[in-house]
Amino acid sequence: MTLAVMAGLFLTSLLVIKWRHGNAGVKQGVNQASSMLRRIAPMMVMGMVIAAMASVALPSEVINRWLGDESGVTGILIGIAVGASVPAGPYVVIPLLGTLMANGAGVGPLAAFLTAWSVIPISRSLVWEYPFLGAPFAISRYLVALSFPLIAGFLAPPIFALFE
Amino acid sequence: MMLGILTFVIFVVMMREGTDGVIEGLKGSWTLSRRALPITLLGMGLAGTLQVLAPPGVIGKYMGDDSGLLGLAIGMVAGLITPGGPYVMYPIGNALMASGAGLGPMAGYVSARNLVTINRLLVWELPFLGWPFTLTRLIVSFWMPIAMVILLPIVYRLLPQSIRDRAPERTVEK
Repeated sequence: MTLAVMAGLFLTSLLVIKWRHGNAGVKQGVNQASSMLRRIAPMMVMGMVIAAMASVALPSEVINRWLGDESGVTGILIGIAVGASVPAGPYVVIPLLGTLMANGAGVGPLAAFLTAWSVIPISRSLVWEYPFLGAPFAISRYLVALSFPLIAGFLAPPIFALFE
Repeated sequence: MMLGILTFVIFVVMMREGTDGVIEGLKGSWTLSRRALPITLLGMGLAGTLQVLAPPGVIGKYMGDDSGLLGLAIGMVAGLITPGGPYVMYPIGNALMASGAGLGPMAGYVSARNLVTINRLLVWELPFLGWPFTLTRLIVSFWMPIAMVILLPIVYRLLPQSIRDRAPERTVEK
């Protein structure tokens, strides 16, 4: 399903480019995509291996105890701490979360993890946001976002229960 | 960085589970890659075509401080469709700021990009985490860019002048 939607979007965007910018535009788009692929492919492969290895290295009992549904506030805080400090892209983090989920991590800690990784990433903020968008913007954004992962961690389980 | 983490996990698996554990891990990696590959390729193709369709230098001009709700909306939509990693997003953000984007629209751009990227959603979250969790996370996140757009400019003005002086320069006067 997702694949079909993606393929449709890709073909539509190619047609729009062909119509508006001609073949040169199509070539530029394909070049952008292939340079992104070359940059990301090695990281993706490593990410998959890391996620799969982590599922072997971390036994379910450990995950259950620290990040399970019963782990409460502690689980959410661990999720936030790990999420904010993981210096990796979606190709590591999302498969890793999938692994944790399959091995007993709760919805609250997972949502807190994913939100912390998204809005208060320590290394991405220092390495990218601060130099490119400037200190005052980066600092005020980080301060406002600090509470977001905690709120997400508490809101997620009751909402998730609606879809089960 | 990634190589270091990789070496570390393989080492831990080796210590705890021996060679069998490593082989099991490699099999798992193969399963993960096979599932993610086709959709990732399409995602990157889409990312490339979007950058041709909507260049950031042009978009930033419509995101000024007094662009109002339209500027906020453009900022958020630009965030939703910005593909790639930080090496794509922050240079684009810098170009948007330089061409005159205001604080509110920039707050919308960055937080929409951080929280819900269409690319990340389709390529990673849906296939790996399933739709109930993905939908849950979207619902608990949708208010965050709105809160950010309102609160960031307020916090920004409360910062000491010495920090505010370190904002990047704009090439276009507002």
